[in-house]
Amino acid sequence: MPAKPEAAVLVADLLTLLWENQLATAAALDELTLWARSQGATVVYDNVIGALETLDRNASAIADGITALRR
Amino acid sequence: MLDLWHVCSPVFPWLVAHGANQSSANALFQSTPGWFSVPGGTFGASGVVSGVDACVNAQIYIDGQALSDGVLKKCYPLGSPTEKGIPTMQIYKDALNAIAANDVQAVNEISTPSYTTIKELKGAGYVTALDSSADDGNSFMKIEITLKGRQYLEQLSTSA
Repeated sequence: MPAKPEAAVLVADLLTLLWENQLATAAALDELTLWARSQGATVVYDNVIGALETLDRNASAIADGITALRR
Repeated sequence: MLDLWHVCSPVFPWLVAHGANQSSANALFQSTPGWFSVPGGTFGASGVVSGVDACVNAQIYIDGQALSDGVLKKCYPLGSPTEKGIPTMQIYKDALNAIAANDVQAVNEISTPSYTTIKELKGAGYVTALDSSADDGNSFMKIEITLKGRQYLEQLSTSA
């Protein structure tokens, strides 16, 4: 049975909220890592940057998925 | 003044989106618009200024083979890049600055920055956005800068 169009919209809306949460978290982490780097914590900076790169990558894929769900 | 750098500069985010090493491409491209090799392949770009248009042609080669989808051709009206609407690095920088400052929530084909600019930045991974294009035109909403975009902006700011 095909999914109801309303269900796809609901999933897209929920994914959009999660996507925005992810972007907000990434932005906050980025600010903190810049501060950590200024304090000399370069290892911490490098580790967090690795995690932020993963968030970046997945954010793009999620955005494309949301677009596909809305069409 | 229109020069090859202004003509070729729109190719840069496109090259990065196709896998060029960002710092290598940036350094080489800024010094000598033309054919150059970077890790991952050879990237070529040339600018031509004719009577009415300024055009840029670019082709990506991997291991000597031209990629069928690795071609970019753009033409713009001849004149001052900023006055006549030719995208320059400044346009990307302005767009990223505005997005980082949360001044841009949505764009369309006639807005500043434009849908095309955001699409190129998105393709290069510098921003993420929801494509809200519909029958009445192309648009993006909820545009956010990425970590890669912030790093690129920092690089542009330090090299300016």
